[in-house]
Amino acid sequence: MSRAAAEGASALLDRARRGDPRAFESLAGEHERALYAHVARILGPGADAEDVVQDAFVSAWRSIAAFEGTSFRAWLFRIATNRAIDLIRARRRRGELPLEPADEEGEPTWAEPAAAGPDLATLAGDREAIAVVEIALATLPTEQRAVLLLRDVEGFDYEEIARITATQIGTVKSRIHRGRLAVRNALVARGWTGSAG
Amino acid sequence: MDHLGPTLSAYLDRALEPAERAAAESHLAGCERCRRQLAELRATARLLATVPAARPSRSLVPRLVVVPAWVRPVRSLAAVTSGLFVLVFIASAALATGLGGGGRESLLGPLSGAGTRAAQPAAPKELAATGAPSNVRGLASPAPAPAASFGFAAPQVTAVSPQPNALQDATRTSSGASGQGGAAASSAPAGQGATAGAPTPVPSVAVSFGLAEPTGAQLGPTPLLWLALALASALVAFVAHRRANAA
Repeated sequence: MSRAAAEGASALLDRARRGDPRAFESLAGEHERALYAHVARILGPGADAEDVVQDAFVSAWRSIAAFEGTSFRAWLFRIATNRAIDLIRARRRRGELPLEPADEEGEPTWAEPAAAGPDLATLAGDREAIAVVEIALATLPTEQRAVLLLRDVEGFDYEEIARITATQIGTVKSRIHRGRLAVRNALVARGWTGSAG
Repeated sequence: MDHLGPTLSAYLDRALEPAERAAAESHLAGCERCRRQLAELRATARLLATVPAARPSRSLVPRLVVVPAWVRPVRSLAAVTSGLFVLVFIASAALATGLGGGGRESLLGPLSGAGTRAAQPAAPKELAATGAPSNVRGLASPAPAPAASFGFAAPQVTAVSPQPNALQDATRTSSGASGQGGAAASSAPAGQGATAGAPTPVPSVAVSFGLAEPTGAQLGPTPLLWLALALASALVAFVAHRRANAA
């Protein structure tokens, strides 16, 4: 973000805090797409994800006077991520989704490649690989998935993620590592070579 | 020595304390396996960063700015009103100019056909073939001779002071007064109009132009009034439109 844009955003935030609905609408509009994409990766795309984002905006607007942080973006992601996770939990309680395996303790394993394939460490932007990554993401435990997305897609640092998900930094570290390793293992299972062992 | 294991991701994310980081670096320098795992985790993180983004099917930003209920009806009403005033303005201007300057043939502008009037002074349709007192006062003196004036240049017309109400006066006056020999002509309020006056006994040809020549058939004091009203209505419509769309 350019300096001028950053100053514009902070002026908008000040106006929104003082109750200017237009300023809030502009701010929300800047984050709308990224927020929806994030929630859609947690919940799956569709009307539920759209409702979560819209509700998150409404909730943010209602409590914006109490917002004291510096990162409006992190605050929005916090509200939306928690709503998405709550929605998944509610679906599980109603039996609409199967129970997910609990976050295991202990050192996760590094899967071994069945046969030598293209080198995992060198692939980037490979379509097939990205498709595998998407499927692997969808099978991660919800919190792990959310944390991994906040780190590798949205670029938040560990402390921000700890605040967003209201967890300890140690938990964030563990979830990020396990999530990455699970995605890596999925790629190895589909034929990319990892050499760890 | 233990392998780095879960610390690899934190190292990759630069989330280690300086001392931990230094220890991890010295381990990596001598451990091929950990270097390999680090490279795989880095590649996985990069792939994750390129996962495509879904797009919402609608706007998700709630509408917080509420448009007052009256704004949209006012916008529509003002737009329609503006259009009507434009039509009235066009009609009025057309009447005032005798539909293109052919005053003699004009059915709508009896005053502009001075020759016709001279021939049929008592025709009932000639409402304004008259020397209305206010007109006569100003007009009787100059040029009883046949006169033709075009546009802006007629000196005897420019001498007359603008009298927006002249035509109403004229139309109210009985046609019986037409025999006085007064020339019924007056200037336009804007000073543009030109008419030719002719005394009754002398047949004359009058050709007139002008936006606002107050002929007997003109609607209202001046066409410019309708234009002004049209513009005012359009302004109201514009403001209401801005207000409605700002939300």
